[in-house]
Amino acid sequence: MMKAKTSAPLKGLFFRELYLGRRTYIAVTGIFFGIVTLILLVLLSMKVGNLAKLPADVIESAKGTIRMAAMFVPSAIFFMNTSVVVDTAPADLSEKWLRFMYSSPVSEGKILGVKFSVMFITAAVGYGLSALLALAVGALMGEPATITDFGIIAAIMLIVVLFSILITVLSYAFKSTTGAIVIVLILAYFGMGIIIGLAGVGNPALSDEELFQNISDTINGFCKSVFPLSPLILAGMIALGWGLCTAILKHRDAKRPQLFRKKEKPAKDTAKEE
Amino acid sequence: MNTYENAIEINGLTKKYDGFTLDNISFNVPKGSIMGFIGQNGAGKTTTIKALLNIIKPDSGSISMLGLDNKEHEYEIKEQIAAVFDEQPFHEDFSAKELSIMMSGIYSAWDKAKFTDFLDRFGLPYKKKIKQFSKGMKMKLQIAAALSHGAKLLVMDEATTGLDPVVRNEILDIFLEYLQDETNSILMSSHITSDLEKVADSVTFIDHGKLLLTGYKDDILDSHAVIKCSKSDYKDIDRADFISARLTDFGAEVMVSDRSAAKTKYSGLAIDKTTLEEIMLFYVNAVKKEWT
Repeated sequence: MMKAKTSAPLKGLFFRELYLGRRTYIAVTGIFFGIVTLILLVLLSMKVGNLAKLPADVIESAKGTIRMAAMFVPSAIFFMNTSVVVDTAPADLSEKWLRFMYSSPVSEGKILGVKFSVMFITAAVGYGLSALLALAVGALMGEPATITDFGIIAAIMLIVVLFSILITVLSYAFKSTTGAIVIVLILAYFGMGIIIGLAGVGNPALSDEELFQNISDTINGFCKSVFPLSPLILAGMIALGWGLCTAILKHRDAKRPQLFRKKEKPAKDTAKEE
Repeated sequence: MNTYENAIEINGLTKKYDGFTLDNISFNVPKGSIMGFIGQNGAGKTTTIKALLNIIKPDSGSISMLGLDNKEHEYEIKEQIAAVFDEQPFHEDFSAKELSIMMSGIYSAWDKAKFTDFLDRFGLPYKKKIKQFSKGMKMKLQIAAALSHGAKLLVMDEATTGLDPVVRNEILDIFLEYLQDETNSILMSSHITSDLEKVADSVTFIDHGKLLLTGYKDDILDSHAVIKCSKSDYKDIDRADFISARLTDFGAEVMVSDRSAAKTKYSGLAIDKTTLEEIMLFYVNAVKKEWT
């Protein structure tokens, strides 16, 4: 009667993950392609259309803005991960879903493997699309994209994925997405403080130009150094997040501190009398 | 081929919490039968079911399901069982159609045609979101899902609580049909003893984490009886002979666990048949011995 297999196929969980996050995926993909289309149309117009009639200095200054927009705005695609995590975590952590999950033939590692695989895939696809856009924008402007450009995109991706992973791990640890977001925001605040400190903000010896240059050098230096390692860092962060969440979920009956939520009663019959 | 006599075997299951202990619980669910698992709120039914499903780690004791150790063969067992809870666990934004897609990717033996048949039979819509379902519809959906992947054992935790009698009856009929295949078994935790009286083959009764009774339902109902007598007759009944006694304005009702012995010893008194609900009530009050 018994089958030799010890695990179930996972496509059901992939389906659930993508289905629960579908609104975010559709909305963000729509916004991404909307912005990309807009940027490319503006650039084309500046090259061969009506905008080409603008004075040269206006075009030159607009190019910088467009380049920045092409770099940063599509990074919204990376925030898709964070948004999906925030959307799906309450359902993933609900007592009734956890009970079902624990009674199904799928291990915690596989369930979370699906979640983190989706995170990895969306980050990688987002990076690929953003890099393609940077290449296209560079080609249209006659200034090819540089390693720094790709480094900036990689750094944005890593930071956003880090936020998503932190929110996921903390949500699982404290059974509260709100608590996780608050902790991550506090961490981000201190992180920004450290970066600003390193760039020399607040140092009276630096002029505004020197300060701007310092900030720019710090960011560019960081992005350049991160770029070649970004696939490894991404994979490492995802693996670490998966490992931590799996370890948390494996303690099925552990009492976890619950931030911003009422404490649950210990395992007792909770059904109401009819 | 794994052969087994009992779908569930629990031996010496113990789990300690602050203020509550599931204390040395042992019982078997014979293959091909329905066991009613009864007890008041906080008795330890859900804790026992959580231990069965490996959701909590017992302090001691062993559990085997479908002839296999529930820890060593966890995922093998879980392919072959279905758990039905008091609340449906699926995301409310799903429809039955999407649920079927998800389940087909979780259970290798998922039978979409069977699931669709159940939906038709229960009158459940295929494309409507679960959040638009009534409580009864949600429970039927959960049961349809539980019965559509060839489960050999159903574990039900208060699954019929809160449902109206018509829906409950429909569900009980499905269970009886499910048991037509004699290799299928059900453990059904419920407060509604009338349902269990209707369908259960055996009964396990726990209270405050302790096992009070386990055995075939008919044996339990046959051996127990209620002596209905006046207060003066009640005084003549040996306290060691009864579980507990309910004192009323008109006399006393005394629960005994050996009906034939009681019939011989107290032949002058009215000795009536009893129900699972009465047995539960009298056992719960056994510590007090006398209650009103």
